[in-house]
Amino acid sequence: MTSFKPTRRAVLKGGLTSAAALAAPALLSSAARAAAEQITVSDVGGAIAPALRKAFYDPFEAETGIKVVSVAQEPNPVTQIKLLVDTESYIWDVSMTTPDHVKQLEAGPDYTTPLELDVDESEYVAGTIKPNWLGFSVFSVNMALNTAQLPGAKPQSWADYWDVENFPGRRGLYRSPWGTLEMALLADGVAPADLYPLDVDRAFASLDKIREHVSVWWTAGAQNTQILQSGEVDMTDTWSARAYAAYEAGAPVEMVWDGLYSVDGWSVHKGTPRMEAAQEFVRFCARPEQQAIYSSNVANGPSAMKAYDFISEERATVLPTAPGNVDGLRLMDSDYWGANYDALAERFNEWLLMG
Amino acid sequence: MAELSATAVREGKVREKKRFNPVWLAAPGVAFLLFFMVMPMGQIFHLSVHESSGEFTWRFMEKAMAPGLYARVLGMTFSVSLQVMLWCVVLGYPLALWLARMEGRAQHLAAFCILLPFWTSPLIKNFSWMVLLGRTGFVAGLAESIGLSPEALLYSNTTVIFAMTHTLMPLAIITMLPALQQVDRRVLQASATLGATGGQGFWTVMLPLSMRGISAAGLLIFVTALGFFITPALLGGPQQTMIGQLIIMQINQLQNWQQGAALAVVLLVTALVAVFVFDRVFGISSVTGGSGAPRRHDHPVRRLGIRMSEGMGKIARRLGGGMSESTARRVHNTFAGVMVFLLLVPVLAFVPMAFEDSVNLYFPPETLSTRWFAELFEAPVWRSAILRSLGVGLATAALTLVIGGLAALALVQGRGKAATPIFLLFLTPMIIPPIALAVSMFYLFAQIGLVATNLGIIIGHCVIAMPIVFVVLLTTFKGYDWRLNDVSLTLGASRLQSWRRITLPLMKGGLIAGFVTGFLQSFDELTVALFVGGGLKTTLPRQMWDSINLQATPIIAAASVLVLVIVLLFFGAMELAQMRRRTATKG
Repeated sequence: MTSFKPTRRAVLKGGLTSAAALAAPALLSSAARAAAEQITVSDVGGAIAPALRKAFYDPFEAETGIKVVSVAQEPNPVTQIKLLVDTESYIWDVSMTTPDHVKQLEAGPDYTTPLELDVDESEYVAGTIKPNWLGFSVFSVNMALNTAQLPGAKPQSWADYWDVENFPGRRGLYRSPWGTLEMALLADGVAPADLYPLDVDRAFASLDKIREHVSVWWTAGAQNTQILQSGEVDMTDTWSARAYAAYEAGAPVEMVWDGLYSVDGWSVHKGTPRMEAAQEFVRFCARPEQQAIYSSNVANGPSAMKAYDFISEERATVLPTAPGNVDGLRLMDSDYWGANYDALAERFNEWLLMG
Repeated sequence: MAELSATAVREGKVREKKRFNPVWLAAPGVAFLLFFMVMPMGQIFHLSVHESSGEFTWRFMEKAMAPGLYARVLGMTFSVSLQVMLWCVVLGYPLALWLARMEGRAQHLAAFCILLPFWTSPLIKNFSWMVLLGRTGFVAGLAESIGLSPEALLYSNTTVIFAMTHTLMPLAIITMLPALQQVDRRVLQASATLGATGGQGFWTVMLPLSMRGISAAGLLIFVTALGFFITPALLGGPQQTMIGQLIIMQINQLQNWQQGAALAVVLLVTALVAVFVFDRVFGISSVTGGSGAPRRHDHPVRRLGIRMSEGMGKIARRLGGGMSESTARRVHNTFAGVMVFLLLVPVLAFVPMAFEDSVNLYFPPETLSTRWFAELFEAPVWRSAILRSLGVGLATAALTLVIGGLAALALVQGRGKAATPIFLLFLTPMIIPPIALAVSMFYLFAQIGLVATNLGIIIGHCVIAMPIVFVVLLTTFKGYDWRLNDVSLTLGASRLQSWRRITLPLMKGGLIAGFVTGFLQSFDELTVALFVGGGLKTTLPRQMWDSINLQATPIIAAASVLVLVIVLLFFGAMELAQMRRRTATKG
């Protein structure tokens, strides 16, 4: 082990106490003492990283003196979070998670920690405040069109998307049951209020009708932007910020606000030696004025409705939680998905590959 | 390399005293792989047959092997891998031959053109193909302008096999090349003197003599293809799903560690079976065998092979009568030119794309600017990622070369029955999906404090790079006539002298290929960096992955151009070192 020392020292010198805590369990207690000086936050990185830094990391640092080191994580960090808690290697203190992730994290032994938020829930979008999770970035699962080569009329709903005769065009669909089953049910005439619990058999029967007309089963968010932007498809399901990225890039992309919304948020990992600073950070992110900065820099909506006081009207039109847009959207039931995702993912795969 | 020769000297002294069996040279590598690969894989295996509560169960294994989804995907995985292997060998062999026949700078340049696409991350190439082959892409536009209207170029079996062949072809070529270079040209001249035509000489002399390289390449391509997931995920449709994708889904999306582990175990076992079958049919064991001569002259498959190549030779003689030597050469050159061009397309396409002004990836670019390069150089995350990738790559290459080189030497010179198990052990990392390796390593490394350290990434990369480096070195050592050392010793040279003046210069090509391969394996490795890096130690592919994942802008193209430049510098420095050594040897 002695040969590893230079690495450890370099890590310490860089001020990455969290990594040091991992590299040398013996140093854990001293790292804990240094807790208040720095926390490590994992987010999905990429284009939203600058918005997060501008809206949350830097202002928090300026206000509290606690440095925020941000690192990129997998879109689904559950595996890594479980590993780091199980091995007590707290390389991250706070991670970007969805309610589904939180469900998965609480399913067996609880991997999360209470946040002690002190907010008025009525001022936040429904489903964005939980004891152990703060939603701060609302995204929608809806339809987007690229009108450049759209051969016929513009579909206005999922029923139109399923209607291949009256609405011709190349179609894309997410290669996952998550959101896709809901779209299939909406297309089949299920009212948004009656979606959950999902009528799974009916959803798959509905999917049977569209399967052969889907040209691209996209697998990653960037691919969704890519196929919309390049006109590879004329219509596809999308996540609001992804479609907006294609629009911002100059592609003739239009949103159809028919679908669902869900939320990205923060959770703090159980047992982290920097718990208090981590909780303080999450509480900071609940502030409307910080969320307004975030939503002005990336096309996801704030969870604090008061944030709209600080957002320009023009900007608000592209955000899913803006009053006009949110009407066509229903909150995705993360309890349902947390409990059923595994089985449905298996069935979806089987349906897609064996059918 | 100095260490290699030093070890040889030590080995020599020991041997004189106690008849040291050189097979022990594999010990460091065996220990390394046992600790960093077999042990974590053991944990994964253990996971696959236990409930999370700790009870023993076969249910995950049963599900993984039952007819239905998994069996079908496994079948698809094998079928795609086999086709990719065949294409790589059939198309790559003439290219390797073309390369082997070149000399000096021309050869280095050609080798560089073939390796360039190999050095570019599959992620980048796949994005490039998506832009080029898309509905509104360059190729569709080209096809339209000549009156064709292709329905869809993407998301089909053909696209996946094409892109995978494209990705793995350079690997096939560099694996076959050393074997081809070692074929003595005078043997061909002799066959011509004895009346063989060019075609006949190829089929009856060249091909059988280079069979060792071909079979090594075939095996390597096959087992590498088994673990592919980026290409089928991005360029294929649901019908092209491969087993690696399902393992990732089980572990990353479903957190079903047991099921993911079970699939990994099934893949591992079936791949090992494939290796065994391959060995029986194509005689890979000649790679592990003791001397240069194949062991089983009388094996029916081998006899069939010899008869086939003789038959092809006769056919070639009859057909080739009309084709003059120079025409044949021209056909060969044209083929090679087209192939090299195809290999370079997705890589070179990124250069103009990097100069696009908008946030889109277009080919050709619509408006020009250098803003993405400015952004690339202004961002410290990109700079530190580049430096880390370079450092990790060099360290990985050095470590792998020493460990793998010693092991290869052990197999070539050692005695006893350990050769085949050692050979299989060193090849095993290739047939374990990187995600399974990475996850199991994360487990182990967290226990010993190696997560989020450069050393952790280096060790992980070393395991991943080991098989290719090992096979390249083994092929080199195998093709080297060790009697030359005995001759030089007889003539009064010391062991050191004989290594320095004879062995190393003759094997230099292979050793450098091994080092370069090790470096580049690390340089574009993503999965280990993703897990073991822990998000704190970001390598270049990891940084690219992050930006591709959230929003693909031309900054990725700009980063790719930078990678090409770094690789060019790396290549140039190596060429210079080689030239100096050449001069030094002369002096």
